[in-house]
Amino acid sequence: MSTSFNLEKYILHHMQDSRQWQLPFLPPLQLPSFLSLHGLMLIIAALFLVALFCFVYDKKARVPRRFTNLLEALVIFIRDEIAIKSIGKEDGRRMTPFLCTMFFFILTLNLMGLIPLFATATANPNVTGALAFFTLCFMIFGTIYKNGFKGFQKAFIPAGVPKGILIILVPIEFLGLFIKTGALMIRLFANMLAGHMVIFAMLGLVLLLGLVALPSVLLAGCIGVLEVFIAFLQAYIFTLLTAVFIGQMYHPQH
Amino acid sequence: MTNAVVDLSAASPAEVESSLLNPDVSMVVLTWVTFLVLSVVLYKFAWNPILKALDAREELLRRSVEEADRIRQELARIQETRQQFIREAEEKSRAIVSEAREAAAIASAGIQHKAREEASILLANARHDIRGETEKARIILRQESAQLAVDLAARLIEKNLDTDANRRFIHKLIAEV
Repeated sequence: MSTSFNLEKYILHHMQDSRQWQLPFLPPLQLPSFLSLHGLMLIIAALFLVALFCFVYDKKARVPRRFTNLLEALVIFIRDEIAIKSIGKEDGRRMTPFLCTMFFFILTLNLMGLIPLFATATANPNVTGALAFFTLCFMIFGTIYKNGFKGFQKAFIPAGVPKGILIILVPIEFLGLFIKTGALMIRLFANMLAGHMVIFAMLGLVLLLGLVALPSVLLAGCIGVLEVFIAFLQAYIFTLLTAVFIGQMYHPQH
Repeated sequence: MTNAVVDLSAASPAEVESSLLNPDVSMVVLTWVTFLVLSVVLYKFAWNPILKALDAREELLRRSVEEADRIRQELARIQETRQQFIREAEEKSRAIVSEAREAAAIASAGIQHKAREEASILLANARHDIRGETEKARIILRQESAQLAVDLAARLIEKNLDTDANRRFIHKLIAEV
C-alpha cells in the first residue's frame, strides 16, 4: 500500500514544475528562483528553434532538400491549409508567422517532453494558458484593429436574431470568447499531462508488481510512439483552432 | 530518483495534485516573454525570409511552367513551319523533276526526229551514190565486155575454125577468162 502511495506521488511529482533539473549520473541541478524547470524548457525550446531555422534551414537553396524540405513542407502546410483556409487569403498570409511560431514552439515543447532528459512544459496549464492568451488577444484586439470596435461588436450579434434573444445571446457569445481559449488551454495541457501519466503508470506497474508486469514496458513504449503522434496532433490542433477562432472573429458573417 | 520519492513522502497527495494546477504568474510571464522574443527573432530570421522565398519560388515555378508552355507552343509552331517547308520543297522538286522529264522527252523526240531525217538523207544519198556507182560499173562492164567481145571476136576470126572447134575454143577462152 505504501509503495502505491509513493508511486502516485512520484508520478505527480514528475509531472509538476520544480526548481530542480534531474540529470543522469549527476546531482540534480538547482535552478535559480526566477526560473523553474518548465521555464528552462521554454528557453531551451526557443533557442533550439532559433538554431534550427537560422543554421539548419538552408534559405539560399533554390531546390530545398532533406531537412529544409521537411520544415518547408510544414510551413507551407500552416500557410495554405491552416492560415489561409481559416482566416482568408490576405489576413491568413499576415498571420502565418504567428501561427508558424505557435506550431513549432508547441511541437518542440511537446516532443521535448518525450525525451528523457527534458520535462514537458506544455503539461503546465500556465504555459498553455499563456499561449492561449495570445489567441485571445488576436481574437479581441486583432478584430478591433481590423474591423473597428463596431465590427468587433458585430461578432457577438448574429444577424437575423430577434432583439429579445440577443439579451441572452450576446453574453453567451462574449463568454464563448473565453470558453474557447480556455478550452484551448485545457486541451493541450490535459492531453500532454494524460499521455505522460499513462506512460508513468505503465512503467509504475513494474515497481508495484515486479517482473510479472514487464509486458507493460512494451505497452508504455507503444504509448510513447503514440505520444509522438499526439505531440504533432496537439500542436496542429492548437494552431488550427487558433486560426479558426481568429478567422471567426475576423469574418463574423460566416 | 528515490530521493524525490522520499522528499515527497512528507507532502500529502492533495497538495501535490493541486500544485499541478497552481497558477504561477512568473511562469505565465516567462511564457509570454519567451514566445514574444521567439516570435520577433523567428519573424526576422526565419518566417519573413522563408515566406518571401516560398512566394518567389512559387512565382518562379509558375513563370517557368508558363515559359515551358510557351516554348512548347513555339516548338510546335516551328515544327509545323518546318513540315510546311518540307512539303513545299517536295512539291517544288517534284515539279522540277516532271518539268525536266517533259523537257527531256521533247528534246529526245526532237533529236530522234532529226536523227531520222538525217538518216533518211544519208540513206537517200547512199542510194543515189549506189545507183551512180552501179551505173558507172555497168558502163564500165559494158565497155569491158564489149572490149572482151571484140577481143574474143578478133581471136575467133583469127582462128576461124569449124564450129566445133570454135565452140571448144570459146569454152577454153571462157575458162581462161
